[in-house]
Amino acid sequence: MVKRIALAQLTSCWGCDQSLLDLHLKLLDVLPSLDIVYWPAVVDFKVADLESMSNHSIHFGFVEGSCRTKEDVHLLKLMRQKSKILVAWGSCSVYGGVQGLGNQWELKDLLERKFLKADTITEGRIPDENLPGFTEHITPNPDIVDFDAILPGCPPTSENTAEALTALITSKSYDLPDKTVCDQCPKERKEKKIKKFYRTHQGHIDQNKCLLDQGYLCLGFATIGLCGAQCPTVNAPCKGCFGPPPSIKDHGAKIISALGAVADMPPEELERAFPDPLGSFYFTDYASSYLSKIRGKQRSKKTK
Amino acid sequence: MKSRFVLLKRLLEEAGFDPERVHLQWASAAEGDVFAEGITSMVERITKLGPNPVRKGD
Amino acid sequence: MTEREKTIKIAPVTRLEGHGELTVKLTKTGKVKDVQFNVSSTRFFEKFLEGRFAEEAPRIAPRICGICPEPHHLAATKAVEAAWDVTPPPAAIKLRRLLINAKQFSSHALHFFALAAPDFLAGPFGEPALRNVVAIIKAMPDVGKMALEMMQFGQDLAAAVGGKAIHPVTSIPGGMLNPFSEEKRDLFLKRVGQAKKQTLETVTLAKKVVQDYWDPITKLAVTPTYYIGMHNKGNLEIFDGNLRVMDPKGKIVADFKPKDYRKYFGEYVPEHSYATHIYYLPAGYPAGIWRANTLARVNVADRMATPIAQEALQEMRDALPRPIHATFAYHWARIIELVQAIEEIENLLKDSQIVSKDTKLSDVEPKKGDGVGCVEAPRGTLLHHYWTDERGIITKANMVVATNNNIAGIEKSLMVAAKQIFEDKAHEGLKFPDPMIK
Repeated sequence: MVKRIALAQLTSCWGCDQSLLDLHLKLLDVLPSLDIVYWPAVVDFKVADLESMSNHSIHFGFVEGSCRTKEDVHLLKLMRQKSKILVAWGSCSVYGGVQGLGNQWELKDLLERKFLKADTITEGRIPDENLPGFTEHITPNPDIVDFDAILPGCPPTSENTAEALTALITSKSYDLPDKTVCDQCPKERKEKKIKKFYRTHQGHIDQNKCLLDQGYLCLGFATIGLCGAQCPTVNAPCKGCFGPPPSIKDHGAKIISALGAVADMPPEELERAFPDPLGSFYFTDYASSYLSKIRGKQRSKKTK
Repeated sequence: MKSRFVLLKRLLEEAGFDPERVHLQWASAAEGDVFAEGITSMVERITKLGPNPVRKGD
Repeated sequence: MTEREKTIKIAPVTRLEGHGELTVKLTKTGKVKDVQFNVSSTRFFEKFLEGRFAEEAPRIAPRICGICPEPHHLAATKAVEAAWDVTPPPAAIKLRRLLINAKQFSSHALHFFALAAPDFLAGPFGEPALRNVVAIIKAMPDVGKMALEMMQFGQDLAAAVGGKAIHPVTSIPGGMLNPFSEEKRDLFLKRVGQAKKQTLETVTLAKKVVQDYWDPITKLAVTPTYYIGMHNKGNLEIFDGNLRVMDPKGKIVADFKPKDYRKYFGEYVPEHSYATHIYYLPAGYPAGIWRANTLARVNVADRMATPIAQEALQEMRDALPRPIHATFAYHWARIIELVQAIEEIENLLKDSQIVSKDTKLSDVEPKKGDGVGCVEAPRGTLLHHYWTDERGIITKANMVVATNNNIAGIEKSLMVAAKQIFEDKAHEGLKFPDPMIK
């Protein structure tokens, strides 16, 4: 039976869609079992078409991106209403994404930097005609509507999406594995005792050895193993863009706890090595951290 | 423990929280006075800072 | 004639990456009063880059665009290198050129086949259900398969050099983290011939489309604007070179190093779009509205950098005089650039230095300063400007992305097209071929 699928993009980079397209010839295996009823980047149906569909008439709804604008919130709720199975697709959708780092500031600071104080701007203003308006901060989609499946990743690999999609098409459940990037990494690991942390541009990297053992902040140990350890394989430390495995509730807290255990140096030196723990430990999932949620509560109290 | 604490404190600061809200102190079973002093000064600091926005039920 | 004022809204604009809506306002007498291209979201990268390690910017900035993360990855790296006064080894520069050309190739193939071709193959009046790449794959399986293989070649190569194709990770201030192995090089040398052959077939297909649609291409939405693009001694260039600005008459009015961009780039904040309008500052706004992207680059460049692409450009210039203002000619220019990309890729793969192990410096030191990194993304000039403190932490960021270089120009050409269609009913008089997909 052909299944009806809708793919909606909230605020994001479109990388998840590109990743799906990157199945290339394998798309030809998947496409015949799907009827695409909404996918603006590829197919010409409009929001009005989506609005006119009856509730739960879409078999699979994939939501990429997070809610940076009020229009995003509308589209997210619409997707929930129309879809039988709703999938949070990619780290933006699951955790808020890299734009969640913006939650470190108030919305007015973000607006000011972009629209009033950019170097090239002579006369600034905040645009507001025929535009949806911004949300005060990024709230992860799963805190706004219920999802039936989540697939993190920045972006999820083509294989990740194909696997999830195939499971859905064949009516199987799709669960995330409780393993880490380290479990998938080919580099050689030893008992850890780190004497000094290096930044990625520093020094010479031994491509056979574990990057964390060499003092580079590789977050594979706290990050879900779905990606195939693509980054450490090519000597680029894992930045944790897929978020933590299901058993870890707060990504940054886990990282701090682990670093405290393996860092063999005075606390002051450790502090100096990480002047930006927020950016370093919550690359794509700050919006879903305890701290960001608490700040969010403070903000909504203020605006009430 | 101290290592974790310095990172946590820096993180709180970056996230916009007053780092004065957290405090780490060691006191052995024999150091009742150190313990009491630590608690008292923490209570004073927190009272000055006002209610915690994290309270349950908000 | 309508009796009331009318607003036509297209929400969202489809076959576009990102968030755009189109608003067309008509007066009581059916005249076009206003055309707005409403870009309805933005994420504030300029702000949340503040406080981060600058060497991490090449990991953060690609997230601006899932179709063109490689240009962001490289512009960010170049900006930090400029700020810290670092020159990477020659082999690293060649790998970066290979990376950006791989992306240029896959993005142009995607754009031509998935975003643009449906309009031409199904026709502008085709049903929405047929006017998309999925329908092309079903109706013209040979073309569909070729399109997918071309995109895959570019994406696979980008992944081989960049670690992953979407949000690459290997470029770092001071070089490339991962050398290109001989095995990988050999693998792509085996595949490049086929990709080149397919590129030339695409040129033939594009020429047929141009012939079939000659009437609308040369008459609809022909919009004189300024143009901006990169060149290297007059050759069309996408990785490193000077920027040129051409005025609507075809005169080069500026030729400068990207680090001096603030003398030439103005940024106008419209009321109706979160994407700002970049324009040629000395001419003012709106007079100085420019366009970037494929057509702009072939307009400002004297010639292509590679021989087959140069032949293709010459053919275009014989048919349409430079500067070309025909908006639909963007697709034609895209195919000419697709040819240059595959030729560049072939040359780089054959360069023995591409497999050098010497790809990264080990003594890079952060310093206080600022630096500009500029490349050409598939959709136009892309520029990152970062300020860092003595620890190498970003204190301020300014970014001019390709979209913003184009938005005002897009709006201007939409205005031209809207007047032609709503006021002159031009579409009724234009010659369109029979659609290939019905």
